[in-house]
Amino acid sequence: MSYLQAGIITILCILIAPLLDGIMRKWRARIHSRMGPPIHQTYLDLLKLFGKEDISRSILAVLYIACVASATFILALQGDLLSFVYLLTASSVCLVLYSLSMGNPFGVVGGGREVMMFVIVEPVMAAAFLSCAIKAGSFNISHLITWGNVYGVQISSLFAILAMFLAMQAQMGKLPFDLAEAETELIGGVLLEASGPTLALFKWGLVLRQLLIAYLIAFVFIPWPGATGASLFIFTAIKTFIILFLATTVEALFPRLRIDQALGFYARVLIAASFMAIAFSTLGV
Amino acid sequence: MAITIEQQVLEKFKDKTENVKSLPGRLFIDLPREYVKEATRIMFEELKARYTISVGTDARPLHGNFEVLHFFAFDKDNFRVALRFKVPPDDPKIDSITPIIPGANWAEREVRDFIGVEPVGHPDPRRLVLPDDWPEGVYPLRKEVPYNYQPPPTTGCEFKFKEPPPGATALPIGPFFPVLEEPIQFRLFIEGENVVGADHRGFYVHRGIEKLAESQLTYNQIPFIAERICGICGFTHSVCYCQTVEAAAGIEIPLPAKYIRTYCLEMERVHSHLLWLGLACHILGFDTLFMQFWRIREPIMWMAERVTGNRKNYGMNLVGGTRRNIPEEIREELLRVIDQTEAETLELCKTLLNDSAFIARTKEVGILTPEEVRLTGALGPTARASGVDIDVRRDHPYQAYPYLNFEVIVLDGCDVLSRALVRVYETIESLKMMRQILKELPEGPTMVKIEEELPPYREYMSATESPRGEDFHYIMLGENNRPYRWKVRAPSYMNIPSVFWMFKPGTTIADAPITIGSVDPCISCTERFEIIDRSTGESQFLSQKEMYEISRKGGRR
Repeated sequence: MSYLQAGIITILCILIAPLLDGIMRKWRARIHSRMGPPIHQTYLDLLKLFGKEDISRSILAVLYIACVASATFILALQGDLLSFVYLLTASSVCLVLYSLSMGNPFGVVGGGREVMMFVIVEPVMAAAFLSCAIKAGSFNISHLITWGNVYGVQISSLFAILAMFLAMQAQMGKLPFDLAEAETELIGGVLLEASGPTLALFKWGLVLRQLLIAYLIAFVFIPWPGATGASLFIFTAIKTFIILFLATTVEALFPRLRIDQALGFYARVLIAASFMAIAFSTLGV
Repeated sequence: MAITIEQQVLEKFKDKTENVKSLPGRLFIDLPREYVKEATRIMFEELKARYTISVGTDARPLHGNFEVLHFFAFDKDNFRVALRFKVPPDDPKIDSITPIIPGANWAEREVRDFIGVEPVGHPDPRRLVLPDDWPEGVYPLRKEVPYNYQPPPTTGCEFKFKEPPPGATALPIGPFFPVLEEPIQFRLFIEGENVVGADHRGFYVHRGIEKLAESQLTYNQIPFIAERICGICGFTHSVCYCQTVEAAAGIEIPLPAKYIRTYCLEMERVHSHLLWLGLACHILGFDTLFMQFWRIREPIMWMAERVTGNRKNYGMNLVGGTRRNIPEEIREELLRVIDQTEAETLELCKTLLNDSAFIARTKEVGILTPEEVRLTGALGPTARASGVDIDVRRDHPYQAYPYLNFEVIVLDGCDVLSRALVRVYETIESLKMMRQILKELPEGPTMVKIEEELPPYREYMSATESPRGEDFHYIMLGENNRPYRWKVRAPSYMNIPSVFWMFKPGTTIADAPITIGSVDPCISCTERFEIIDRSTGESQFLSQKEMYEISRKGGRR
């Protein structure tokens, strides 16, 4: 895929992420038996925040959204898997550094939780990647996709998809794993001190990240053999949308877990799904 | 024949008794104040009475002394005892009973704040109710202090919070917190995620309702202000006030009025429990069930409006009965709402209790043992979830409860989950009671006319079971058509201090909000804020002095 096309897809993702968030808010509201805000509400929220004063300005907010946007670009470009993972992790690091630099006790606790979560969730995701990479014999995303299209779904890829789906809620920062923010415990935790444009950038980055994770699963882990060009784009968009829908439904159906329970859950996922995926892929099935 | 509890009590104190006033089911004993610790010990440890509350009264116009009353209840025998100690104004001191009954901690500090009787030997003699800038030596419930007294502005006084243990950080839960939007501050001391201690400061917006009632209002105005003590379970205060006055003055109200009061009380309990179940889900981040619980609660709010004219603050009570009857033609409709709410509650609670994550978050969290319930005096669902079988509706029957069939729900899990379950089952029991009342509601007038003035200086105490526990009122009738002393003890007054006992080792920050929430704390809104300089972007905290000045400027009209 050319740089131009990847660039266009990235910009499209950045612009459309708040809309998708708005649709998901509406969907969640329907599950709650509420009317919910109009679907363009997230744009209004961001616009309002950009117009407000910033009392805790930090370059980390810009870095955060830049990291997520670059990761989107690499995925759209079907580039190097390792830089993708690196950028995604770097965005989490930005968030943690921001919360720690503010010195608010709630933020510090939230930052600590974010670190604990990505220490355990990152390997779950990395193992899923690794199992695909072992089979394709490459760390290039385009090779992974081609391999998936040619050989279809195997046992190891089923485990990899399972691991990705289980890691999804935490990667998106959604319930039952929104521990770093945990509004009813930590009053917003990592983002507690953020306001105005800084908060807007973080929020925008977060909705983009949610879209990115869904896009990743749809694009890499659920192959659609035979689709190319425009049809590939349309199929990926539909799959992405369905995955976001799923994530929102799960979010509405679970209460928040405690950090020890969340870590325990992912420790089990790591053993049951991620390691199995790697084991099967080394066996070549 | 077995010796009654009254004889037992009198026997215990026969050498010391100065004066005895015996009323049906009630006993007032005057004892010398030197004897307070021994008497309390006998009541609490030998006779196993449940500590209810302490009240201070400025009785100098009557006999020249302050009075401190300690109230106890014998729940198995439907019997209440008040120990009265006279404290001379030139030496306003009395031995503290908090070392024997930890649950008396707040009550004794309140007596000191309001009447000025010092509890000698109190383990935590900080201010409780009065604001930090209130001048020393002015005690608002003394009769010479006018109800609208405003102290001159002062600065430089601050509440002294306890220091966190070494290595721990203080984390303020409140006074403005997403799931505890009430003017109370729980200060958690944390190490990492673990809670290692806690402190508390509340009463930021004490409204002085007792003082108003004693100095400005009349008997029939108070039911309305009593209802405004709480925004959720206000009606129980109104009923409790009315029944206490009626009992003190010897007024018997018509049976239909009793049924209607009971109906409204149970309606209030259903709405309150559903509200709590919703909030508990919200605290755990379970917003779907939060919304659903509030959705099924809405018909009950509609019902309240249909029956009383208001969704909240029913305004049904006057001394002598209720102002309205439940019209015949709407009863069918009400029964339908009861059926619908019952079905929906059962269905929703089934969903809730089948949720493994909900169970994991609440089971064995916030443990309060039966012995701790006794020591702290915790009440209502908080006590019943710890296996302590007390319920005013059955133990000290009032209004129409003697004629109703209901079960008292007692569980022994001692944790947050049990407290939730008690509320679920109680909601169902309440709906059954409401149905029975609608079917059996007798015909007739709902009000008795009171022609004569209520006899002054008679006293009485009684209680109702509010959704959160026993709501206790003590009244001494007075002259000028208003009470001489009216004391309200809401259940949260006993339940909130019990929260500190629930922070056992191993409690984490994530458990803290639901543990605090599990006693359904009912408080009533305000505190500090920060000012930012727009031009420099520097932030600056207001000193107390500056904040007072701004508030005063804003308060002036």
